[in-house]
Amino acid sequence: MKRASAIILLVLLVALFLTGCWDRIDIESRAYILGIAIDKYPPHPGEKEKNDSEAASPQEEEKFEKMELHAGDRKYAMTIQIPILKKAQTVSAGTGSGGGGGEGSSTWEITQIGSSFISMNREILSRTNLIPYYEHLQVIIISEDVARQGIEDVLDFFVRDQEMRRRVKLFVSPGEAKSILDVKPRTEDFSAMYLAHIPMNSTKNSRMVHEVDLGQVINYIHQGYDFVLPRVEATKDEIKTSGAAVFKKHKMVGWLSELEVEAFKFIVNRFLGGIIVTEISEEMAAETGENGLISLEVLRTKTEITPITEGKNPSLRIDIKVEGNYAEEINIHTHGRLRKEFLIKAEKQFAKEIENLCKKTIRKVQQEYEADIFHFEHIFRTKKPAYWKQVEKHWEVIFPELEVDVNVEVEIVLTGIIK
Amino acid sequence: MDGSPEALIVPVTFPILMQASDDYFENWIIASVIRISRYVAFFTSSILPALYISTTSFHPGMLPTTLALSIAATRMGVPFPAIVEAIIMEFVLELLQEASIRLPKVIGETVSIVGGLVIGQAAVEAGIVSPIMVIIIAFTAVSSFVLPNYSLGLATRVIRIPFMILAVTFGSFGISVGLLWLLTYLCSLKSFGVRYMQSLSPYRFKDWKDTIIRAPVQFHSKRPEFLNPEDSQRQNLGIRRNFNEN
Amino acid sequence: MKTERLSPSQIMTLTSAAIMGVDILMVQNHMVSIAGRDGWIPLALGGILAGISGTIIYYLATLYPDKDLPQIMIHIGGKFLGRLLLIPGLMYMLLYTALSFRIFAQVLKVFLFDRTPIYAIVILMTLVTAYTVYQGIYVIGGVTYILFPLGKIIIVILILLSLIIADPSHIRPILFENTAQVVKAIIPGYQQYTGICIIGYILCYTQKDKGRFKWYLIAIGIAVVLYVALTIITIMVFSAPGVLSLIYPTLTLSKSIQFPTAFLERFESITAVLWIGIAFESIMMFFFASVRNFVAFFNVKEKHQKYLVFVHVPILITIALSVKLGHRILEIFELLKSAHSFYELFIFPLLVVITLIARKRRQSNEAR
Repeated sequence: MKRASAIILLVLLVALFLTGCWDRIDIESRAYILGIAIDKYPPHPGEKEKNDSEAASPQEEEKFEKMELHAGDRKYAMTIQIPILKKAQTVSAGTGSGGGGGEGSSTWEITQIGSSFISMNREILSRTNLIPYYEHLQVIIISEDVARQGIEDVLDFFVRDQEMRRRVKLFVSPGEAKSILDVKPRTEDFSAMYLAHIPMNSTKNSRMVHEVDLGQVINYIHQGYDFVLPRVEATKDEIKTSGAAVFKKHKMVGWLSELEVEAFKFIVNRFLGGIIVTEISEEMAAETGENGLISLEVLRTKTEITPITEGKNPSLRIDIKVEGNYAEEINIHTHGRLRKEFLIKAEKQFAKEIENLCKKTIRKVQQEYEADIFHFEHIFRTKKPAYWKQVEKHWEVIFPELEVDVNVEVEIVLTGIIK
Repeated sequence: MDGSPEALIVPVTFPILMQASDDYFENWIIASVIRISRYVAFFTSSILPALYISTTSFHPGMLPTTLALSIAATRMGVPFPAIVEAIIMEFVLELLQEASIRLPKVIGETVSIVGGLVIGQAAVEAGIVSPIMVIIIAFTAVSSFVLPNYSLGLATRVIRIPFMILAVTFGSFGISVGLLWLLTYLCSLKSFGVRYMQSLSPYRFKDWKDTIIRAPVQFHSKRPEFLNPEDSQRQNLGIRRNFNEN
Repeated sequence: MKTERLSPSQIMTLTSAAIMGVDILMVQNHMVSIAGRDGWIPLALGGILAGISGTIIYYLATLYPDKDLPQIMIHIGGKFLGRLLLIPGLMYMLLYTALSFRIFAQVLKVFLFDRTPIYAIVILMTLVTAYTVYQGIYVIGGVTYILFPLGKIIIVILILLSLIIADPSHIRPILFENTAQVVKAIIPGYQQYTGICIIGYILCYTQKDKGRFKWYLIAIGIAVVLYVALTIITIMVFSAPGVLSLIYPTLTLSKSIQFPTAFLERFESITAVLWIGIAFESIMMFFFASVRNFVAFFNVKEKHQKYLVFVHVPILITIALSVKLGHRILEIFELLKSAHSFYELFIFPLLVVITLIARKRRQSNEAR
């Protein structure tokens, strides 16, 4: 009995292993998709034919890019970036004989035009010898045209598929999204990796939106909140991210400029570091001379938002506490004479600057975009649930008229190493 | 045993096989670090090639992006899948080990030079195996030499291949299944009525003074608990007394 | 030489491991679907209920120190009625084990293996679990002892790392106009602690020790704390509507952790792999319980118990593979759990009462 059962087990196991290796794909035969750019197709409505003078035979290329469809229109053009590994080896390992292919590109951008992303993904299989692999996806760049139509449909595949990670970074490009993947950065082989690392600098630069990834965005969409995504622009060999795209529900409604992003980060308590420059006040000018500029290096900020529901209309009070260093002065000369009274005046001046910036931004967002990107809704919902229940239905009307009071306190901690 | 000049110690348990007599002559911190590294070596020696196969051919998503790309780049142009590569290198390694044991010391060195330099370097340059696989197999071999008990080292060499087969069929799930099977097997073993995994499972923290770490010598006054000794006090060899007097 | 017995602390690892099985992937979704953002409150209250119900089962088992649950049932109910009473429990354990295998295989297939057929995963897993169960309760105890801390440490690390991206305001307002749903969700919350009856199967193998009950309560406590903490942190990260959209929130949680260093950057794959160990521990216990049920039902001799393990293998594989329709399986699973919670909440206290009455009568008879 024991021996018989052991033999049966053995046969079962051997059968299992002999038929095995279902999922095995060698590491070098996968196409590691690093970045995806999503553009609208046709690029400009009305202009059916794409005039690409650089490509050798535009017609032929276009034939590959278009695919047969079950249903729907060719709405999206998806471009994926995959690294070309052979060249990467000669660069990194240096063991290959000769210099490799020379000046060639280290990445390959494949564009596919279709109606659904999963079908475009599978269609690409017919054009490469590799299998697309999304676990290393770093960035998704969405063009403004697509974003204005709504991004929920675009992101669905990237959230639903189990191969996707939720830490993929999202960007919105005002021009063609593909052109950002085409950039050849100087310090990195792959533009997608280069772009993915830029948002990490947002702790030092206040004009870039804090890191926003796919998981966060999809949470906002699920909750019905409005949100912002970083904006990215590119020249031939440079990429810049600054400013932000404002989304109402899941449709883009407009842009925030660099300075408005700064105010946004103050209000949502994400301001981790940055510089505020302001003109000196008249009072100070009397002491030091006119047209002076002073700079504050922000070290720490803390924002508290209090909902006020007493009275006729709801309102909000935003208290921002800023700590920073007196970092620079231009056109005024206080060397050796930097007195406490002067610093207190400077603090007031900085506070005024921040306050104005915040108020201006809130007004713009309220009236122009009517998008609650600061999540005031969330504050009412969590802190005043009973009140929220009453106004939930009319929030769309209330938000643009919401009174917001901004109080800023600035404290200068250090003045550098000189007085 | 009859006719053999050596003595056998029973009962033997897994932690005992990880102990070496040198441990007791070293400072306890050094000895503990060495002992922990032995446990790690046991695992790397038995499953490292399997782990490599499962991560590269099933879950490259586990690796950081740059590492995945550089491994993929080194494997460009290698004609075999990772499992064949691993089995070739494993086979070569076994041959080299057996060859160098039987040969006199002088020729033994030649074998290691031929094996290490010629086969390793040349195979990589010829594009038969990838350099990373040479690293993995070398690491595995070194780990198996770390184990103080030669027979245990042999055992890890034997289970390496089944683990590789599990890894190539089921990836990390296969390795988990293999480890669970191994754990069950180890837990079910008995040596003279004593469980082989004694004092690791179930824990006997009093015995841990000489299991995963080697505690300072003044903690060693009691005999291991799992043996149920009639006299729990160790024979006093003077070490402890001197320690206390000074 | 002392005869081998499970140590009291092994009660803790065995029961705690049994409670946290495949459910750990889905518990948040289930709770949030009933009680919204307050889903963690009924889960905690259900944990208290589980402690009470567990105490009753524990007490029942101590009344018959040499028997396990199915044997107790047959002892009380007699040959026919006892077996009748045992049948639902027997079916439950068998189905639960098989469905756990199936859900486990399905999750693995979705997250790690696209094209591996589900039968291969189920067969391999059943075989290796059967091997452990075949070796008996002491080996199961030993294996669990080593796996247990590994699995729990991973969950704790997952919770701690999620704190970075958690937003505490998502669970607010607590209990606002939601009390009715919270009360309604207590019983489903209780059903998430599926393994408490395992104590009835292992208590007869443990050392007679005063600390046994304490360890058992610690086991339930660990499960409750980890479940509640996991649910709170998941709601904090994804918000209640977000959790509702996820089928396996725990795995998605490990996918969304932001960790700056390069080495731990890929935390989700580590959890996906170590979760296999957690699920194994739990399924092993249910497998063992099912085997014990069969032993009592067919009155098999103790030494032939291991052949019943072999009999189980084809049955389990067949049940696990015959269930179709991917997502429906989770509904069947929940249905099964609610059926069993009825069993746990009513049958076992009844058995305790019957035993106590019978003993009292016997005592008074003897006194007379």
